[in-house]
Amino acid sequence: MNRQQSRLVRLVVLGLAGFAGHITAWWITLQSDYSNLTAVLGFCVVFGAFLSGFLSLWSP
Amino acid sequence: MVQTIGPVGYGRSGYSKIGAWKLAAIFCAALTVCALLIGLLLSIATFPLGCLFQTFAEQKVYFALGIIALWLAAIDLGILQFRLPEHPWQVPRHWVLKFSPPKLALLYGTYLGVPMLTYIPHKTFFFVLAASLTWVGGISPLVTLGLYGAGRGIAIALGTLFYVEDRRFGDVLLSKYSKSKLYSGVQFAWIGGLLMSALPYGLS
Repeated sequence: MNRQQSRLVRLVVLGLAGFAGHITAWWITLQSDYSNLTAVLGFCVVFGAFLSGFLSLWSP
Repeated sequence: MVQTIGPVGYGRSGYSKIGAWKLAAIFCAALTVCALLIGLLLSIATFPLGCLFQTFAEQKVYFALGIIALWLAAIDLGILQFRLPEHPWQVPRHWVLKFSPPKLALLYGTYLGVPMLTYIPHKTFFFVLAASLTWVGGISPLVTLGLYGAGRGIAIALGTLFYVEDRRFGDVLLSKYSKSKLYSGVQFAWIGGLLMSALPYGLS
């Protein structure tokens, strides 16, 4: 796989992950008792902060 | 990174399991405490900014954060190149020759507790920082930087303990670096898609 193809694959991965997020948002709208995005974002930020730090283990 | 921090856990006089645990604990505690202090200062400094964001429509703030998440995910995935506020290296290596292992563990821990002074391997950290600066959901930089410091401290301290047992462990970790970036990028692309959808779906 050359660099251009590899970049294209990563772009597709980015798009799919973003679309999965969009589907999740749509799913949230279907849940009458779970419509608070602030709570979801709060969890993402808290979890993301810990994970970003933890992933440093794999850095050069 | 473990290959730089590892010798701190190893010490100069040879390998001692209890010594390695002690040094890893000093390193981890120094890193977390320093990150918490920086987070506290940032929380105090950015409180007016958080109040300002509270006056904006919540969905617009989410949309902006969603764009930031996608942009940083693209950087982590290697699609885009962009220079962010960070240093090109993580810790000064020459300190190994200057200080004793306990002092070194303390100094390296303190140094890594200030993210902007070091190399930040996963750029999606900046999303976490941006989200906490808006105080969205009442989450302040104190919480996020404290968690970032704790995550970094625990990971590196544990990694160092494995490294002193087997020096090949550092190479194994390095070989998975691109996979860790892929994981981080995918996760934040998902968060970006979720947040950007808040506007059309009217989520709040």
